[in-house]
Amino acid sequence: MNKLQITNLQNKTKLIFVLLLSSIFATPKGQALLTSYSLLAKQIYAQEAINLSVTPPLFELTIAPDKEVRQIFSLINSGSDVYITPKIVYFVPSDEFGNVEITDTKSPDWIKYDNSKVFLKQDAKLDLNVVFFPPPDLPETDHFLTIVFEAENDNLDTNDNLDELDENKNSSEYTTQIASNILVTVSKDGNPKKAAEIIKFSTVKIADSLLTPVSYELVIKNVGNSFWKPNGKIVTNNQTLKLAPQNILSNYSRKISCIEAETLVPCKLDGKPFIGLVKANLEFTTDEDPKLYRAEVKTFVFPFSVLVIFSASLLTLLRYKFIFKLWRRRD
Amino acid sequence: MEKKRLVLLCAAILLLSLAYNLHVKKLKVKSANFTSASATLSNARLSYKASVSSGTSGTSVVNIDSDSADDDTNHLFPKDTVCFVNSAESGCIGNTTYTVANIVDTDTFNTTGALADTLATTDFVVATQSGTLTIAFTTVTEIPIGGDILVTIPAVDTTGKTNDGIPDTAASIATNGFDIGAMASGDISITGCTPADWGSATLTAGTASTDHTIQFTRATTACAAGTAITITIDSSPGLINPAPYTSHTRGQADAYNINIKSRDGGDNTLDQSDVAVAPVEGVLISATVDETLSFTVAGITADTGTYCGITRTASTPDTTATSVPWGTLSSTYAAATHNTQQTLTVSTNADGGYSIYFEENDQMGKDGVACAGNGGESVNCIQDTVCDGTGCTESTLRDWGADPSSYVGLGYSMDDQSGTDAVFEYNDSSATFNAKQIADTAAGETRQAIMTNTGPVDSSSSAVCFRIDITGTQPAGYYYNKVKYTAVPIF
Repeated sequence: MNKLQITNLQNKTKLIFVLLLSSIFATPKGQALLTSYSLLAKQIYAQEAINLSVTPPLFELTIAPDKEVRQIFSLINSGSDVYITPKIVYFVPSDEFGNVEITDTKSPDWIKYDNSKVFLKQDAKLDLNVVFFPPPDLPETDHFLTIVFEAENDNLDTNDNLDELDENKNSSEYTTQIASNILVTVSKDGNPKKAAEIIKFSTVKIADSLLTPVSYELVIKNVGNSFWKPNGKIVTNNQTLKLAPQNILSNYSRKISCIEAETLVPCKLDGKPFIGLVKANLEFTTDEDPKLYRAEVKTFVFPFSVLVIFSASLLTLLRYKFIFKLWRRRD
Repeated sequence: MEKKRLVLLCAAILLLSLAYNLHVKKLKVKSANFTSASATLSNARLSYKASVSSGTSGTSVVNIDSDSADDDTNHLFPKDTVCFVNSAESGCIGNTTYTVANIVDTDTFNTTGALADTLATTDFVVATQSGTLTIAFTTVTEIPIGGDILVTIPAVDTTGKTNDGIPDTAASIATNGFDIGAMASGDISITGCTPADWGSATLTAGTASTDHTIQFTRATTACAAGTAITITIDSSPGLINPAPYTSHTRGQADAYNINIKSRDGGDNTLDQSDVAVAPVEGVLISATVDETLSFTVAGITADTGTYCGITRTASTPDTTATSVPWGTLSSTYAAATHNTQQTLTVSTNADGGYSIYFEENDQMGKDGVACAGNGGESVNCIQDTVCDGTGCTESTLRDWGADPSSYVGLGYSMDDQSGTDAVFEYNDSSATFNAKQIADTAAGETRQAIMTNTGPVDSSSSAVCFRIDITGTQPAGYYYNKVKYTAVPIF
């Protein structure tokens, strides 16, 4: 019998005992004790899932110093009753794919919100109003933040033991967090410096027509003061691949995918060119800035596998012809 | 002789009268209405034309005033293409068009790019609505060689404004009309009878006193009565719909009559009909779908089911969303009692996708003691397993095998239940039980992603499979730690 089953049997026993007690001690205090035990039994028995939703998952803001913007982050609890503690901390990109590493560094004072613990019942919604009000002398830089909602279950901590006689109740206690990212650019005129550096734009130099798909790897670094999205394409002999508008944070690089019908896809040619030189021209701007960044790569495509198969077949044919000739001479 | 002359005279009179009657009959053609006459606009939305109140170069905010029939932004929608014209309506200022980014309020909207020029209070903002016009009808009367079809389209009663490419407005429907802009005869086609026998369209722009006309002349062969004819004005550049007239009632279509007539070689009307087209304001039907990230952690209490290749039984510890209670652990490993699971489910419509991270505050310590280094029973800890002789870590998986007795401790694996978002699975590369350590933050380890997707997902679910084993010399006591899941969007 595992821990949970043991606990339930004990609860039932206790409940009967308490009911007997309450009939004898029909006092307000006795009634309060009965209520608390009933609630306790119910809580231990009904362990539901933690189910949280946060909106929006990403908030991008460009704000001038001495201006104010308010944004509501909504948290919906579709699971069991929980206590929610919000906090806003800085993050750093953890890789070139847009993943974050949440730090312990708290958000600056000019970002104001209520960080007190809130009890959120099932199906309830928490609207957290966050106010961004940078001071007039704040430098024009980016701030990368995450708002984290930590959930603590409404039930008793599993460390607490209803049966003090049990030992060796090994366990792990789990908490759940759900987060939303906040990208803030502080800019006096709404035109922060945006600049890019193409770290990598590459493809295979030689490709087999039948076997090797021609795909492109693109890594772009943001060397400006503010995050932006690349706006551009890769143009080849007969196909155009649209770059995905993925955020590139200032002083960080990002591997950029392509996009097709709102879906991220690898930057890869659909068709397989049969023979010849495939030139790919990359061109993009940083958001709507006019400066165009360019690069070019080339791939020589040839049906090597066909050549190999043909050669192998020819050699095999010649070999058997030679063997056949020898055999005939022997005869 | 006299009789003969009289007969001849009568015959002549008779012949003359017959000839006269025939001639008159020929002249007095009875004109009729076409049958099945219709005119269809492919875009029935009124153009937008409002007076500018302010707009400063370098910004994207435009304010309008109430001096025009379009006196608010209710008929302007995000992604509409607009341009600004001066009071002389001599083309778009700077030959520049802008896209409406969003509507701020009833008299303010933003453009996606900054304004290149500062706007004057005498300027207008226009959003042109244009499209094809298809006129279809069936003739009642034969159209002879040299006859024609004449279509008359209302134009504004201002010379020079009927084809400037700017939507027109006037005090009434009768004085307002369509603008033909840069339309040419090549943009108009006709079908019915032998099309080649019609000749090219003759397009004449309206003036202050005339409307636009389109004429097709029957060059060779007559066009028989009862013929279905279609005249199409194509969409490039298209017929520009009028803006509301001055006293226009919002939501009520402005009906403009297009006259169609067939004529003979003497421009006498054979058949004609008036057909109405009624542009109206567009209606923006919108729904807001918020971007959301949803994350569910659930325990498993069923005594059946297989996760990570391990079948649950009544002996398997029941988990909750907040605890994995192993209970009293035996030093003899048994799959059913030394393995258990939780499920994680994620949904998001955010384009960037998400990641779920996993970490522990420390290895499982007796009564919560800190477990320095690799932990282990010597320091009253249940260590994180190393899986095999090579060693798994929080970031590197190894096959822990069917029996973990040789490499005791706590570890975990993954098993996709729906979707493929788990970063690894228990049976990848034909392994029995691929496992990793939970990232130990007390040891400075970096929490690891256990589920991820770079795009939107709907109820992507994975099981986290926990396994634990101890030796017979593990000191007795209550061992525990704290583990955390974090769901984060990809930016």
